[in-house]
Amino acid sequence: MARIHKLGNSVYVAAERVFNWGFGNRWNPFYHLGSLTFFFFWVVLVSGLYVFVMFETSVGRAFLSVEAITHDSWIIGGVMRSLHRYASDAAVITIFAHMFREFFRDRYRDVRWFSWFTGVPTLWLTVILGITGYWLVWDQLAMYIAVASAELIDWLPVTLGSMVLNFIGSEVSDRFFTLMSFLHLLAFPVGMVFMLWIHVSRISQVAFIAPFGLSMGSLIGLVVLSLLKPAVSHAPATQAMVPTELHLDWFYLNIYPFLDRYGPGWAWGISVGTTLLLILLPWLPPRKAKPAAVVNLETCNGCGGCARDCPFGAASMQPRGDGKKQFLLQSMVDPALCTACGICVGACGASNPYRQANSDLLIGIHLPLFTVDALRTQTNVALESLGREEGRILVYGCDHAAHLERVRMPGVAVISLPCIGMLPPSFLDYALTQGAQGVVVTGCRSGDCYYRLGNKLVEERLAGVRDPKLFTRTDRSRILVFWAGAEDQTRLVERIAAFRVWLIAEEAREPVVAVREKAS
Amino acid sequence: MRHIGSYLFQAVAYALFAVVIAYFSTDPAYHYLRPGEAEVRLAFKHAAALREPCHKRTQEELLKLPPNMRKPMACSRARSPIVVELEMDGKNLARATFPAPGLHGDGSAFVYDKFPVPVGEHLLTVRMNDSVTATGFPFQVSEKRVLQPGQLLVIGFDDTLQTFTFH
Ligand code: HEM
Repeated sequence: MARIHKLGNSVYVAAERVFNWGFGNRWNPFYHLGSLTFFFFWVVLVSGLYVFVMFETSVGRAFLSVEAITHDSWIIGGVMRSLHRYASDAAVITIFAHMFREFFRDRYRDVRWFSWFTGVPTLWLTVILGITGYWLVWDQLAMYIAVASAELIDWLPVTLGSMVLNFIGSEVSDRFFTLMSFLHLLAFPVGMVFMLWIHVSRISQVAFIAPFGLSMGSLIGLVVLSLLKPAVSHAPATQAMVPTELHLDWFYLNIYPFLDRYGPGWAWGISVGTTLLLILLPWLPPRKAKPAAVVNLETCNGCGGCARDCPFGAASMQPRGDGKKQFLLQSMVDPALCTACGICVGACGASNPYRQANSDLLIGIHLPLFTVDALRTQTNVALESLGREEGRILVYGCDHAAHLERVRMPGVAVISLPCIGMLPPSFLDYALTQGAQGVVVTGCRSGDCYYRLGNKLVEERLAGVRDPKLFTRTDRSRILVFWAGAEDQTRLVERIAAFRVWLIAEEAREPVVAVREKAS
Repeated sequence: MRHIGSYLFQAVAYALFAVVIAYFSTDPAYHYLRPGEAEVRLAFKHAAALREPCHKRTQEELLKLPPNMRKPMACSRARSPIVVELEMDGKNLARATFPAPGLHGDGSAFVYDKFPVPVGEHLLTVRMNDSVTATGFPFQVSEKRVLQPGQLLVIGFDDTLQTFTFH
């Protein structure tokens, strides 16, 4: 499995590198596939409402009303209909790109199974929405879909088994058509909204809104497409003919040719089999989750930083359980939600390496696999290893972005954290006062943190808009923040080298006097 | 200010995205039938004869039953399977048995099958046996039809008229 992840990820990383060049980090579509899908759904909703107002939900009138929408007022109606179709197709592309990306990035296992698991039904809902949509046009394609869908349903042992007779050899009833309209216009969209709400319910600060430029670019693309190739219907449905040539929407209707060729057993087998495989994927193979963050009530003063910053809603503030009267609340971690990213450690108000200098550094919350005391020890060892080199740099990075080992060299020490969001800003000050001439903070690119929010939180902490803030006295010019994903390996090396040259030049101008007094 | 090349790249990326959508939303065309073909479908539901005929209960049998269940006629619920044969121009297209569905085997059997056939004039013969006690095919209809390209000919069974229908 690790091999598949690595291979797939390398394809994404290669594509992302190109897109980072062309679109810039902020607009890179690969970093916004979920929110871009939401955007396409908005387009589908708005265009769908327009089409719905003009649509007539009866067997006799449906086709003619869609024709009228398409041709009588093509500038609005035709474009709206086309947008409705093309934005739905676009959503299929982004949904699959999103799904594969989460898979290859390995962001779907352990406690993150939930988002994956609840994503799978949205695939079915999307496809069924598409199918029922094509059905409503009531042209030859719709008739073909109706009959083939009925064949699929009839094959199931739990149904009455003769649904197909509704569409051949007798007039199609308006009631059936009303049912289809109800499903496409109300039931499935509501189901989709509900499912998507569940899909993102376990994560906090969800990116619902795609960047403006990216949304507008996509919208313009779809509008131009709608003008150049307006969506049109097939000939009206008739019972006397079967369609010889069909212009299928392969994004939604690909199961039907498969059904014709291999029969309903295989069609169900493949669909249900793939679904089951997807559902089980987070446990294939099963693995032991990393131990969750643990609250240390002795030092937790209930500041709420961990609960505010946790990207997975694992930490929350609860009424105090240990009777410490001066604090109302305490932190509580739900291990079923904790990814062990350590962002709570970086958010803890007590995370300060200057404290408890002669004993274990205990803060309000810690990661059993990598305590903040271990981080301080590693920092001390790393600083020690820099010796008296010129341009001494300590690099703090994360396990999921550019490989830090490749920047290690005499004079450059590295420490890798599970997520850069775990780094309390006071450590930057500490490193600078304890011997480093410069500190580099690196990690996944903006908008692409493996643990969702780490780099964003660090930026806000360093900018002084989020607690815990970087001390005001810390020399910002000696801190380099440079986000570097796996695709930016070389750029990271180059950037650090340039920073080092600058540090050495600065040092020659004005030697740094280490500030050793305790931070206030 | 971004590099002009990056704007060009964006334009190309959006265009490619649109082209992929434009193409796969309608193409490649799918040919359900080959040119020069029509389709014959057998499609009907039919309640076959009961497996065992009803019989009048004897006085003795009636007395054995609780008083509220003493119906004079005894009928089993299970229906016979249906055997259907379709022949075109003397050649057998299909012969299949369709059992009566349902927990007690008492439902109407559902006959459904599709056959692409070359266009032109054909003599179609359909037969059915719906009773285990009957021999041969008590129901049989032959019709000569000229089929056009893409034409759908549905062969059904009218339970009221007790005969096959072609439409
Ligand atoms: C209907 C389409 C879908 C939409 C609109 C959608 C949207 C989203 C959004 C907005 C996020 C949160 C991104 C963030 O803020 O970090 C997300 C996360 C995620 N989605 Fe989807 N999604 C869809 C379908 C799917 C499918 C089909 C799967 C997989 C089967 C999937 C798997 C995931 C996973 C694993 C996460 C990551 C959660 C984490 O970081 O722990 N999604 N999705």
